[in-house]
Parts: sequence; structure tokens; C-alpha cells
Amino acid sequence: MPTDIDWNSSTREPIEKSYITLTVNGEPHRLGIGSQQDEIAPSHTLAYTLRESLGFTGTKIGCDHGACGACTVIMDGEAVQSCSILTIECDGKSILTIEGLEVNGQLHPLQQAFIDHTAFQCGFCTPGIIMSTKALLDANPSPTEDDIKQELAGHFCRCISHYLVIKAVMAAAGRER
Amino acid sequence: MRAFEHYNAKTTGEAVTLLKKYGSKAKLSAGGTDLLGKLKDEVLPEYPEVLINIKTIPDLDYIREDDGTLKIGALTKLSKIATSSIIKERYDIISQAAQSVGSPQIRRVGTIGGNLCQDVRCWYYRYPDHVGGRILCYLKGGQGCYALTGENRYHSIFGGCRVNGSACSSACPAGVDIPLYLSLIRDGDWHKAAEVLLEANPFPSVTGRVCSHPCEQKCNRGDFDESVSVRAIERFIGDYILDNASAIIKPAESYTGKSVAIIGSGPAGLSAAYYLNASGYRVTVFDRMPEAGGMLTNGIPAYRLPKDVVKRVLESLEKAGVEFKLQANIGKDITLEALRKEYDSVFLATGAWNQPSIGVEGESMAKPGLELLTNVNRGLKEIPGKKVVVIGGGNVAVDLGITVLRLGAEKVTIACLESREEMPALESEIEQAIEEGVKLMPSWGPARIIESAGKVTGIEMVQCSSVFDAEGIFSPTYDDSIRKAVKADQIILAVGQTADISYIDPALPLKVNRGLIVIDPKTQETSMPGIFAGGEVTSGPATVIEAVIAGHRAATAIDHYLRGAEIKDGHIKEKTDSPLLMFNSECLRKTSRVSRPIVPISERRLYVEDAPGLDLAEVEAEAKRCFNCSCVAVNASDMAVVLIALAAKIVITGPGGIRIVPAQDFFDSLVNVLEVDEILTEIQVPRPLENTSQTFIKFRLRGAIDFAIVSVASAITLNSGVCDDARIVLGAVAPKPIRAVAAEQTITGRALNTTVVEAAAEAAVTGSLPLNMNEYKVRITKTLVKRALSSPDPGTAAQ
Ligand SMILES: Cc1cc2nc3c(=O)[nH]c(=O)nc-3n(C[C@H](O)[C@H](O)[C@H](O)COP(=O)(O)OP(=O)(O)OC[C@H]3O[C@@H](n4cnc5c(N)ncnc54)[C@H](O)[C@@H]3O)c2cc1C
Ligand code: SF4
Ligand code: SF4
Ligand code: FES
Ligand code: FES
Repeated sequence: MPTDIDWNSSTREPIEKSYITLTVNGEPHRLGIGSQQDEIAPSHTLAYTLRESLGFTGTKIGCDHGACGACTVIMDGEAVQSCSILTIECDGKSILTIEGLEVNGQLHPLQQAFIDHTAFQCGFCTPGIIMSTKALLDANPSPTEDDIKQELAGHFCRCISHYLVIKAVMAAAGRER
Repeated sequence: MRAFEHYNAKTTGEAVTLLKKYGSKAKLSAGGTDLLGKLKDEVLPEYPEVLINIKTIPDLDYIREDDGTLKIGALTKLSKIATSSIIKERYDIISQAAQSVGSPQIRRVGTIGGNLCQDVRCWYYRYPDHVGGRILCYLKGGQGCYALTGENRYHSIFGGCRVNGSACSSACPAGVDIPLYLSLIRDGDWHKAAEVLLEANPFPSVTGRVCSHPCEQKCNRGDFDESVSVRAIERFIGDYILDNASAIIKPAESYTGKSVAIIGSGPAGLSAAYYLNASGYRVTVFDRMPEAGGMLTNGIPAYRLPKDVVKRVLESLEKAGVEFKLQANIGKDITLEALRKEYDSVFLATGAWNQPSIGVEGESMAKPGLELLTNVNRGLKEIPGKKVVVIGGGNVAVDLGITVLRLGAEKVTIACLESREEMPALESEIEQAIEEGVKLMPSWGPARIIESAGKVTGIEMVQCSSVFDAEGIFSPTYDDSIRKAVKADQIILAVGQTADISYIDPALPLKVNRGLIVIDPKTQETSMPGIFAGGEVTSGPATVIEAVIAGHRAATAIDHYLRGAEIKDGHIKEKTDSPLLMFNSECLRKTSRVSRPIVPISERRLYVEDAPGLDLAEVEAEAKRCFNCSCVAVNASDMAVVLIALAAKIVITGPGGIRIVPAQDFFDSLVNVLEVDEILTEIQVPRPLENTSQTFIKFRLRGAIDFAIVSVASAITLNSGVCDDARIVLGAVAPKPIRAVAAEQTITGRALNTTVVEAAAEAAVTGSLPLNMNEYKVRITKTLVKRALSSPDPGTAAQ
């Protein structure tokens, strides 16, 4: 509770670091802050950094306004929209993108389930949906259909693959109807 | 996104320090889910230079109960609130509302503080700047609301909130709260309307006739169909005030015992007299003329400002306690120093009456214009000549042109240095003069008055090639080779009167510059303590309303001075944080303005007013045309609605420590009441009584991501089936959450049977004001209120 703010000791201005560290798919990155070509500007979103600075183009940008889910990645275990987070505010975070699911050339079972159930057409929304699903299954390995619908409510699929997505997720969770 | 600097605040103190340093140039970033969208689209009125990340403050993320009060840190994520067991158990609508926000991803990042502080929703406002240009509405510092008359299906159904003042009031030199008094007229409260007007302008009967009405030029309705006839309404209220003067212009309730002398009884002096008298000072107004009123009585022709109007204004002031001492020659009969000793303060408002010399041969044969106007105003109807040339291009020259014509002159010419476009007189008045037969000779300067046997026979003019130099300074140049002689038997001079300050002893330390008294423009103070000055004696020729403002400002400053307070800028500006503003729904249809043209030429006389006034019905109709310009966006925060229903309080931390406001008052102005250096730090919710039934219902098009179109939260305390206490709050229906007070009253003390619930639903929307496209929201609101009150168990809600 801020009632007892020590105004003498806490009212200085913060001292800013000149870089942040970000772990992406297990690999640490040290990213300088600034306006040079290879630096992270304060206005860069996480989605932008992942795609443009680090080359993880599996993460898609659809609406860029938190309203479609295409840019979803897992940050410290939670599915979040990388278009609505500033990279500079992610210091010390660990990010998992769609590229991090594959192990030794082997698709993740979730990815395989999406293919098996043709749970996409164009595939633009798929990386985001898979990342949300991954976080869901990590926290709750046997979700109900309703849990899945709730979790994926923020994802838009313009190809109307939603029904097949639910089938794929249920299958991956071993709860096929 | 455009660039900004970025700071990570590690304590609330650091964040406040940064906010204090950068003020409106900084923005806080909590979850960033609302903020980043606005930065990307560049819709904020001011793009922030600095972003202060507050996620890094560790001690603002908590949910706990202390002594029956739920406390939620501002940085607590909505996902945590949605699943908190304490909240689910006792404050369930808070978790329901949190669960209804956006999508799971938004809830994991979005904070409760950010949710409460989120900006309003309006697609015009949020329209991306880089797609087709900036939509510059009120909320972005522009002058107009696109939604009001445009696509408004998701907008307010309960009126709007004023932002940045209104176009008309901002244009009014006196800052009269025009939309406020127009809304009072719509409510039928003439007395209040008069008071609002008088607060900023003591003589609406005068300005309602002679003001150049910049308010109408700027009125937003002008872009829609035709501007509101503000001046005609003002005139009507002005006359209403005079008709009811004894009830409206009253002596002060008590007098301080201090006294003020005012020299000069023109608009500046009278205005100061009005306000000083109302503040309890004994005011004596001195004037050298036999009749008070200055320019109003002597200068402005009666066909524009009837003299009985001025007389009634003067009478009303006298009845209210202002004393007049006329034919008093300051400097001769009594010195300024003597007055300063006798009175606690002195206000100099002696105007500008001197005809300056223009250095032209034969000048002494010419007649000073103001003298002629004064004579005519006193009833002297001598014809100055048959062929008259008036020298000058301002309003006095035009008044003279028309007056001389109406006196019976055969030919009247107005000659001025300025070109036709540069003429300083009001365009409408120039046009009227031309219509009545006055000839214009723009771009000509007087070279020599031609006489024969002591009589004027004409005037030689020389072509004026330019009036102002590159810097806009008066510095006429002539083409000597182009000359013209005009036959005339009278020349009248109306070339910018100057102030006569010869009554001031030059030995006094009163600072004067170029014949004008030097003042502090904010307070009207002169260089001598206790002596103030205003009007044309400080500015040179200007307008009635400007003199009135100077008098008002001086009155406030004199009041401060005599009370020993710090002297501040005394002119009242419109408040921007008014409650919800209503308009008449008919104003959204196209209509023409009510106005009465001036009488035909054949009926125009010297002593009869040219312009007829509006009648009561016309004024009422015209007042209904006002949009009451305001923002009709909605506040769609779901957390706000449930927190107000549960009588929560908001803890705000600023440089001076903390303050706590009821959640409802947090939204009292657009978007909230936070100062630029304040942070919302905690939400406190008193534990609801066991028998309180809570409901939250959110209506939207899609079950996720979408904002509410209407939401309702209720907390109803029942005792043996009878409602003891009720709080019903409506969301997304107005620029702020709305307490449905009438509905609450309808059910309090009653059992919630179908009839009562129906009545409450009806009451919830009484006074609603749907726009062209959102009538449906009224019906949805009714239905949701009905459902909320019919919900059988505490905490059951549909979405
Ligand atoms: C797709 C989408 C859907 C949404 N749906 C809903 C919905 O259904 N219902 C709903 O209510 N909202 C909705 N929102 C709005 C909003 O983003 C969320 O409500 C969220 O809770 C805002 O929190 P934040 O921490 O992300 O705010 P931020 O974006 O960080 O902040 C919002 C504003 O508040 C200021 N601010 C933040 N914290 C504080 C503080 N502690 N003190 C002072 N000022 C502060 C910021 O400077 C900023 O101007 C939605 C947003 C999106 C993008
Ligand atoms: S409703 Fe408000 S935000 Fe929308 S256009 Fe009007 S003034 Fe702007
Ligand atoms: S519509 Fe009314 S509030 Fe708006 S500018 Fe015109 S007079 Fe003023
Ligand atoms: S791109 Fe991030 S939510 Fe659409
Ligand atoms: S598969 Fe095309 S958008 Fe979902």
C-alpha cells in the first residue's frame, strides 16, 4: 500500500539500463536499447522484435491491436499477445514461439494434431492458436471442450477452421470424441 | 509507433516524480493493452514524449481483505482477479466483470488500474491517424464531434461531456458559458440562464444588440446547417433581465465598508461598477458628461442601440446601489490624488474621445465625428451638409455615414486609406451602409480640404497604395500622382479616436505610453498601487465587449487587492468538467436558424431600432437548436460498473500523498479525475452484506473480444424480500458510468415483484437521450435492468 511511501528515498528518477536480456526458445539474447539499426527502440513491440530483429517470422501480426490472437507467444508460461507488449518491458523474460516447439526436426504433437485434423486452411492464425493451446495444455493437460473454447476465444480464424481446431486440441489432449 | 523515451519506475514515488517532471508529455504504461493501440494509431491529443512503465513497481499487485475491506493493487492482472477465490466468494461481480474483458490474453496482461483508466470508445476518436488523416474531434483538441451527427450507433444515450470548452464560448471574448444558459432556457429556467450570462457579461441587453458575435461565426452548428442565433437570444435574455431588474440585479447581501471610485461611465466603468457592487463595495461612478453611459449613450447610434435600453441598464445599476456623479470633471473639480485618498481604490475608464489631428490643410474646417454622433444621440437633428464626406474606415465612420444619410444628406461618401477588404468596420455594417446609399471610396487618403469664402467646397484625395508595412504596422504610402477632388460641403473625421489623459497630473508616477495608460493586461493594475485602468483609455478604440471584460477583470483584481489577496487574472473561463450535458434530440435534424432581418430601408429611422428582437417562442425554438457541443463517446470499462455498484473507493497517489475518492466520482470528468501527476494505486471495496444480491450483465455482439454495448451491474440488499438498499449502474451508455438513481429509488422499500421491476427498468432510462442510431441501446438497457433485478440468486449473471 503506497500510504507509507518514503518520499525522500523513492522520489528520484530511475536509472535506465542500456540493454535487456530476452530468452527466446531457450536461447538468451542481449538486446541493446537505442535507435541504431541493430538496437531495440522503446517503441518496438515484442512481435516486431521477434520477427524483424530476431527472425522468428512464425509469429504473425494480424490486427496489431490485441484483437485477433495471431501474434500469441508464450511468455514465462502464459500465452500473451506479442503485438501489445513493448519489448523494452520484457527484460529477463523467457519467450516461446512456434519455432521453439519442434524438437530435433520432430513436430510437436500439437502441431501434428493440427495437420492430422486439417485444423487450418491458410494457416495465418495457426501459430498463435497453437501457442495458446500449448500454454493451456501445460497448465491443464485434460481440458474440457468448454475450457478450450474459453482459452481460444481471443483467436480469430478468417478461414473458419475453429471446429477442426477444437477437434485437433481434444485429440492432442487425448480426449477425442 | 513514433519514438518516445522509456522509463521503468521501480517505486510509485519514482513514477510520480517522472509524471510531475513531464506532465502531459508522459503516459503511464501498465498492461499497455489500451495504450499501445492508441500510440500505434496516433490518436492521442498529444503523442507522449515519455512512457513510464509501472509494471516494474513490485508492491501494487495484490488482492487481500483487511477489516472487511477488499483491497486490490492497481497492477493486479484481470486474470488474477477473475480467478481469485476471495473475490469469487464475496465480490463475485468483480470476478465476472474481469472475466468478461476482452480475451484471455488481454486479461493476463491488462491490469485493473489500466482498465479503470482506459480511454473512451468512439470510432471517430480511435480512427487511425495515418489512414486518411486525423479526425480532429473535441477529444483531440478540435472543434466538433463527428459522432453527434454521424455514425453513432455505439455512442452515448445519456448526453455528453464537455471537453476543452465549447467553440462558441471559446470564441466569445467574455467567455460566456453559452451552451449552459441555452440549456437552462430549454429547461425553462430563465432566472438561472440570466445569472449564467451575467456571470461573464453584465449587459447582455447591450451586447445582444451591438456585439460582433464571434460566437456565431465559430458555432459548430454552422458546419451542419446554420449557426445558432446566439446574439438574438442574448438580447432577449438581456431584455428579460431589464424587465425583471429588481429581482435579478440586486444590491450585495452585505457591504464590506470599502469604496471604489470609477472614472468614466462607459461599458468598462459600468462593468466594473456592476461586479464591484455585487461583491459588496460602495461604488461611485464619475463622468464629465451630463448623462452616464459613455459610448453607449453618446457614441453608438440609437437605431442600433436604443437609448431607453441604456437608460434601463443605468437605472438597474442605480437601484442596486451604484452611485453616479455626473458633470464631474476629474482633474478640475476634484483631482485624481484626492479621489485616491477618499476611496480605497480607483478605476480609470475614461475611454478614447479625442479626435487626433491628421495634419491636413483645412483640417479645422472638418467636424469631429464623435461630436456629431453625440449631438444626434442628444436629439440634435441638424443636417451637417448636403454632400458629406466621412473620413475613416472603422465602425464609427460607418455609423456616421448611415446617420448623416438618415439625417437627410443627399450624398454621403466614406473615404478611407484601407482597401475595401481591409476596412476595419464590420462587413455586415458596411453592407448595410452601401444598401442605404452610402458611397465607398476605399484606398483614398485626404490631401487637402478645399474651401471658398470660409466654407468647405470639397476635398482633395490622394491614392493610398498601401496602409500597412511588411510587419503589419500602420504606415501608409501614397501615389502622389493620382489625385481626385470630391465636391462636399461638410467633411467629418472619424479616424481613430485617442484617449484624453490630460486630467492626470503628469507629476503622478502613473505610467503612460503613447497616450494610453499602461496596465498589467491580466489584472488591469496601473503602475500606481490601488489604481486600475481599463477600456479604451488603455487600449485605444476597441469594442463594447472588450471594455466590459476589462471592467470585469479590474473588478476582480480590485476585490483581490482590497481583500489583500494575491491579484489574479480575474476573468472567468468556462469549466470543462461539467456533469453530463443534454440537448434537445430535435437538434440532430437539419433546421434553419430563427432570425429576424432588419426592417426594410423605407422603415429605417434615426431613433428607432432597426433590428426587431425574437419573441419567446422563437427564442425557445432557437435554444433547442444548440448541440450543447460535447463528446458523446462511451466509457466501456467493465470494472468501473461493478466497482461503483459495490460502492468501491479509489486510492490515488500524487506528489502530495494519497487521496481517496468514491469510484463514482473518479469518473466525474472525462476520462477521469486524475491530475497529470497522479496514479491510481489501489481499489478498496467494502464487503457487501450477506443478503446483498449482485448481478453483472454485459450485452455485446460477440462473446469475446468485443466491448460492452450496454452493461448493467447491480447490488441489491434484500430484507425479507423487501429491498433495503439498491445500487444499479449502467456501463457503455455514456462518457462515464451512470448510476440509475431513479431505478434505485423505485425499488427501495419495495418487494421485487414484476410490476416493481418493470417500473425500475422504465425509470432506469428516463431522461435518456438517444442519438439518431442508438435508440436500440435504450431498449437493451431496459431489458438488462429487468433481467438484473429478476435474477433469482445473488451472483447469477448472463453474458
Ligand atoms: C481487443 C481488446 C478488447 C478489450 N475488451 C475490453 C472489455 O471487454 N472490457 C473492458 O473493460 N476493457 C476492454 N479492453 C480495454 C483495456 O485494454 C483493458 O480493459 C485493460 O484492462 C487495460 O489495462 P492495461 O493495464 O493494459 O492498461 P494500459 O493500456 O496500460 O493503460 C490504459 C490507460 O490507463 C493509464 N493507466 C494505466 N494504469 C494506470 C494507473 N495505475 N494510474 C493511472 N493511469 C493508469 C495508462 O496511461 C493508459 O492511458 C480491451 C482492449 C482490447 C485491446
Ligand atoms: S464522441 Fe467524443 S471522441 Fe467521438 S467524435 Fe465526438 S468528441 Fe470525438
Ligand atoms: S451548437 Fe451550441 S454549444 Fe455548439 S458551438 Fe453552437 S451555440 Fe455553442
Ligand atoms: S496481431 Fe496481436 S492480437 Fe492481432
Ligand atoms: S486458417 Fe486461415 S486464418 Fe485461420
